[in-house]
Amino acid sequence: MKRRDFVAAGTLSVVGLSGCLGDTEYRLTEIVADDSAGPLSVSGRLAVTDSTIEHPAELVLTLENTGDEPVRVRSYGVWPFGVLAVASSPTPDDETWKTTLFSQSYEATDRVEASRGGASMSMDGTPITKPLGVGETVSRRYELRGDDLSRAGTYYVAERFDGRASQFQTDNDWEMFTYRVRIEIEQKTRVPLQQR
Amino acid sequence: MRWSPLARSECRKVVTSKGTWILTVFIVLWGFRPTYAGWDAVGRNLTVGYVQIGVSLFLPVGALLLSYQSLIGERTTGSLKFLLGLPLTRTQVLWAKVTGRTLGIGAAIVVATFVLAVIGLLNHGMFDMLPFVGTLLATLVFVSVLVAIGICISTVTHRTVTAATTIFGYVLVTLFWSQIVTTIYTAVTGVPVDPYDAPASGPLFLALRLTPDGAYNVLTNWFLGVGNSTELFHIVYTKLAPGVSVNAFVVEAAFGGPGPWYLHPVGSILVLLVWLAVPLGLARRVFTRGDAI
Repeated sequence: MKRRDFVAAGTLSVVGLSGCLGDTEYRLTEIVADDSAGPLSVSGRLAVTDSTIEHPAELVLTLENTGDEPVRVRSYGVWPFGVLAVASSPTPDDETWKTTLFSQSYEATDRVEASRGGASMSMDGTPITKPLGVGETVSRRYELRGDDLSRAGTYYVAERFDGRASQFQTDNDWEMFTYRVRIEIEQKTRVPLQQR
Repeated sequence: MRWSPLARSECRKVVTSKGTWILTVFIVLWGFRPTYAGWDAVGRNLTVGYVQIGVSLFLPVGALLLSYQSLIGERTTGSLKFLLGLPLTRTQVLWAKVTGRTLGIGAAIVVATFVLAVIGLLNHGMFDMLPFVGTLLATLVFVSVLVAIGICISTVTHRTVTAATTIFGYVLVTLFWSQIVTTIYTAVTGVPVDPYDAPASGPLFLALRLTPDGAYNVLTNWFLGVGNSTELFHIVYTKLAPGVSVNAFVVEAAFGGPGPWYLHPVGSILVLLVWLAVPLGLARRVFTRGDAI
């Protein structure tokens, strides 16, 4: 190979690698909540769409009692949603990788111990039960860090700990509090000289 | 100064060389590496970290390749006879070569640093000036050290191929320095070295930072405030993060604190100055006493 070709090949290789060596950043494009159960309704809103190296994306989940009677909601760790994650399946099993959603409320309680990336996480097994009045709403903000995601795609909000999903009580029976929140996530393109 | 025209000529040679500007482009493209760990480690000073990343990989090879032919090239072509015919002492010729090449490569590195600074400024906002200026100065000292080594090799060898092989050997040794040091340490002390859980040994950590590359990283990590190590800044941060295991030698992780006094990052300035003085002294000794042609 001639020296000129060698230099050109080397330059093109480095040019090709530039940017790829940085970490992938993501953008949350859509959040859709449906299939809420019983008198409880869940809705979602994207507060911060970009999950970049500087900051995580933020989504707000809101729980509303749309029924005619007060409802008691029982959760683990933090009330009312508990410790959440996102997974590529709406019904993740033990084998499905879950990416933990972080919440400021984890830091305000000693019921949840969470490390960055969710590598080590523990939760107190004592449930928290609180009433939710008719028409009353409660919102909680969750953060999604880009370095916890492995790829872009469709994700679903799921409970982080199996068997610790929130429940609600209308009469005397406790029922599973089921809902589906879908999040569309795409890879954010990085242009070195992009303007913010 | 009678040697300044020769220094200017050397500087012009470097600045007008394509290789210099290819090195500049490589440093910028390789250095710009926005990572979550990097941001968590130093925040907006990630821009300063870009300089460390780009310089650590490409500057040693680039600066040595741009300096190692400075004397041996003139010797093989015969143009050294004309140089020695000038009213300059051999020491002045050597000094002019080192100064000119350092200024030329240094100018290219300053350009690369400022390009990275502008990219970082646009992407992450304003960074702290103190670590930036400190890193820039450390990088310029690193350039002068590498030029001194390159010119020393150019002086003491008699064939271009020998000089090139020596450069290659130097790069290999510095690349595998931690493996070399840990192997020797284990052979001498009988203590196995696990980089995931390194022994709190002052001599081991001192040996690891005796190369110019290691000293440069220790110094720039100090400016960035991430920890005392020869590794890149984001690796140091990851190593010191709770619950994370990384194969990196970091003083705070091994000693549970700052470690012995002689491992203070300021000592790296001394290491770089020794690497500047010894090759220059050796080159001067060989060039002034031997048969230059």
